[in-house]
Amino acid sequence: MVVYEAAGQGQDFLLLNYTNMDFFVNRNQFSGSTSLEKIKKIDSPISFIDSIFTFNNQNILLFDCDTFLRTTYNCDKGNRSRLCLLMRMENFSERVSPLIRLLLGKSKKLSQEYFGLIITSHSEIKKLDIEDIYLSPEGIRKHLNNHGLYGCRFPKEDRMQYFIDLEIIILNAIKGRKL
Amino acid sequence: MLQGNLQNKDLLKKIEKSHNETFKQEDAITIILAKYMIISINEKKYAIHADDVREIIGGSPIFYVPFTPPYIRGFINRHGEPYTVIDLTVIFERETLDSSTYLILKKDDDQLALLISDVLEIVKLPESELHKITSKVQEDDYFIGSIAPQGKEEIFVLNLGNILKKLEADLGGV
Repeated sequence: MVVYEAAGQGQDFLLLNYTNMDFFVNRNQFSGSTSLEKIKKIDSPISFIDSIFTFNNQNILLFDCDTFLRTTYNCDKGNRSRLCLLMRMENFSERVSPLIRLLLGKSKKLSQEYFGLIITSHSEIKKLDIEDIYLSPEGIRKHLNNHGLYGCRFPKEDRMQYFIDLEIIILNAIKGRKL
Repeated sequence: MLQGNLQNKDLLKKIEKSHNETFKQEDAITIILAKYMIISINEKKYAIHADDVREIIGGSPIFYVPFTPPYIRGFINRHGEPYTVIDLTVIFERETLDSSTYLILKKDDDQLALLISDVLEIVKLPESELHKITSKVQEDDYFIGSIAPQGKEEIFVLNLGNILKKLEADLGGV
């Protein structure tokens, strides 16, 4: 069951909502989403990449983005219901796709077409005004960019939404970069 | 891939460009202050060159930002724009300051706020009355640049340059 359809023109983002904060992701970074069923744990040395699930008769390798965000950003632990974002090879940049192909190529049982991300089910596609989005302060920007955090927006005085890059987060997990 | 949606590389450029106009307007607004601002941080008094301060704001919550040293407490929202909050008590006393008062620093190339307890007063001091701290350790190791006489008291003048150098060094390895 694909939950998200391609939205209209303009700059669309996926908003991941938690009780105390939100995250937003460029809509270009994934191709669709589906419900998560029958997740199987696998032996893996890579943090947050240690499970698979079956979709269209293919075993999709999963990155547990929900647990990554909860752990790294101190999100609330309220909602535990989760979905799977599906990324195709063309969703990855030329810099990262060879590494993903290499990772998926390690087992013939894994889908070579899709890579999956576990996300909270409290998520929605939303058009955001680019003028409301700010890059991180300059002195700290490059450092945070390297961790997949580009900037933020403040929808309300007391709430911040983080602009994150899924590809860099996945890349760092594969490379084993410390949090 | 969604038609019409920008790639992150182009999106970042567009976001940066969209705020250039705002920066120009903001830079035109300057607050004329006396030479030194006497502030308190956890009951200790410090002086900071008033020219280094753009604004004093209070009441904003700090939003946690990961991947940073402990003295970076996070971001605050200043007119919709994120400012990095530096907590000097983490450096000086290895504990966090419970406050929501910030000095917005006047920096053309960064957006920085200093977490403080309070602003006590603004004073004018001739440079000749400041006793520069020189000595045993290289000046670069200090976050205190000099000592200002304040009645019977002497107050440390914060060396913002060295504090920012520390931040740069701590993040430089990335």
